[in-house]
Amino acid sequence: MSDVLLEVAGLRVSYGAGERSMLVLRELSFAIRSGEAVGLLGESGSGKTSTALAILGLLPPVALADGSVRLRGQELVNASEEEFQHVRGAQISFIPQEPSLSLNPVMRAVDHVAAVVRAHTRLSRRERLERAQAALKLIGLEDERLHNSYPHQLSGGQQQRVLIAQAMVCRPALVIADEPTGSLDPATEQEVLALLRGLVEQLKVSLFLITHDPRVLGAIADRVMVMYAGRIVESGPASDVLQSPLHPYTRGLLRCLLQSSRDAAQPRDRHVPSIAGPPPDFHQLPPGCSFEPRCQDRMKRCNEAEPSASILGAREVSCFLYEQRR
Amino acid sequence: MNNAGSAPPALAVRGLSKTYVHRNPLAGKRIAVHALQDIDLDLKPGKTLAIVGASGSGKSTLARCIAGLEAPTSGEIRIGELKLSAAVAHRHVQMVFQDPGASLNPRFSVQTALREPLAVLPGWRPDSFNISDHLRQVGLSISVANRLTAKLSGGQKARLALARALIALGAGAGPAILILDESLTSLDLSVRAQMINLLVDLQERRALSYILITHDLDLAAHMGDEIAVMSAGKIVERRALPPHA
Repeated sequence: MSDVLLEVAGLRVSYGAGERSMLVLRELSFAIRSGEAVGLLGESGSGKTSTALAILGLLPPVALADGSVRLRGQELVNASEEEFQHVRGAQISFIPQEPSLSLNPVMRAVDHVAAVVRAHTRLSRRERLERAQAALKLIGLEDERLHNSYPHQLSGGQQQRVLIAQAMVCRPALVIADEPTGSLDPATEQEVLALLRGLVEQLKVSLFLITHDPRVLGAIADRVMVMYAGRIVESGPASDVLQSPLHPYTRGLLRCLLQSSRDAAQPRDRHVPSIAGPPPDFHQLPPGCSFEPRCQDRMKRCNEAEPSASILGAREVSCFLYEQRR
Repeated sequence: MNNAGSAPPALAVRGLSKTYVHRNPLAGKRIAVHALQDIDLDLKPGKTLAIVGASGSGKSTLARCIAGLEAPTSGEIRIGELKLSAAVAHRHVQMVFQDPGASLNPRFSVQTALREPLAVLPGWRPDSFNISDHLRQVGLSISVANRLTAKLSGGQKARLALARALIALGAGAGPAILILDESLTSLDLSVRAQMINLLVDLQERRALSYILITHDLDLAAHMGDEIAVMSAGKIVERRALPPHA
């Protein structure tokens, strides 16, 4: 497709070497188109954050990446640090998880944003500050007093907005957000998600949003990919995946959500349907499908071979239940 | 469930207030912050009170007062027949904190972490302590007993933090109150679902009373028998929820 912005093909990331090495991303392939909001849904240890770090070239030194990550045709896997300096912040930017840990306590909000402009342009100090202020206004911090505030004077939601302004100020093509609302209360979370969605539409940036919470994706994503044990097990349009999940893992995960609307007259069931068993251990993955030990629909062949992706219309699912009959 | 209808409350709070006084070092003025104002509540054995409210509304201060970690400025807290004191709180009230992983010493083994809370209980004999029972009741296998807590998964840490809280509650008769201060918030969905089910089973088996502090309204509505909404140090609304099946 012509408007593909980021193309990931056969991406593998392993940590450590020799006997103890651990393959945490196993042949990951996906594409993000211009102006598209893609959600990556998975639980702790599924490889979500490693995916983001691999795209950004921020994996720790013990990690080895191979395969291909192309941004508009430019290969990023094992690109030099100098090449990445031109990519990060300008073409791909990152919104980290914990706003309070990501801001410098002795820098004003506006200076955080201006520092990004400084790294990527040759503007004067005055022009940098103007750009930074415009970016802060764009993300809803209108009050100039807030621009000159230090992080501890801002609320969690305001801190997260400063990070979003940092990510947006150089008008990148792709923004990667790792649990951007993880530490916010529900009302603030909704505000920040609406803001991100608005920016995607207004600025035509692509968004790659990483989260463990399906409720976050319903509000914001066009497409959802579900990750389990370093592989994408299901992907498709957000409304399809979230409303009628196919893969047994996705079905199990969405059943874990609590029902918010409830008939007051109906007695409530105190138990929640849950996925039995422990999360996958990368040192001892089963020979077949990684989800097989926890799966309610497992068949004999599930522990013999790993299923490949079956294509069902706009959706892909890696499960023998959906393998096309030949 | 037990016959909670006629039983005396496990917890009764009357007119509880907590005021923090800060002294401004430059002006020398005193600034009073009314964190809790005239709180009344009752909690029956085997029931769950969900407390919801925005950040800074006083939820955690209330929890800390009930757990005996903070001395109230005025008012009374009774646990069953007893007035709250440090000794009463140790035996009858336990708290599971926000990030279960961060409240465990990473260099302790699972057994050491599990034994630690008992050190404050008088009359405790090490030989009466069966590690595997305590692990099994929270769904952990005995094979983790010698592992370092840092090596556990997020779900295992949450279970261990719960086991630690339950150990002290199991030491004697009388009310058993468990305060869950955003304990489920940081967990993955599948782990959270397993923990909810575990908490429900334990409550039915042992008539535990839960105080669930959260900003997740779905969770409050799911687990609570009653919801109290806090704002600016006061309970502004209380509502009983339809009974559980």
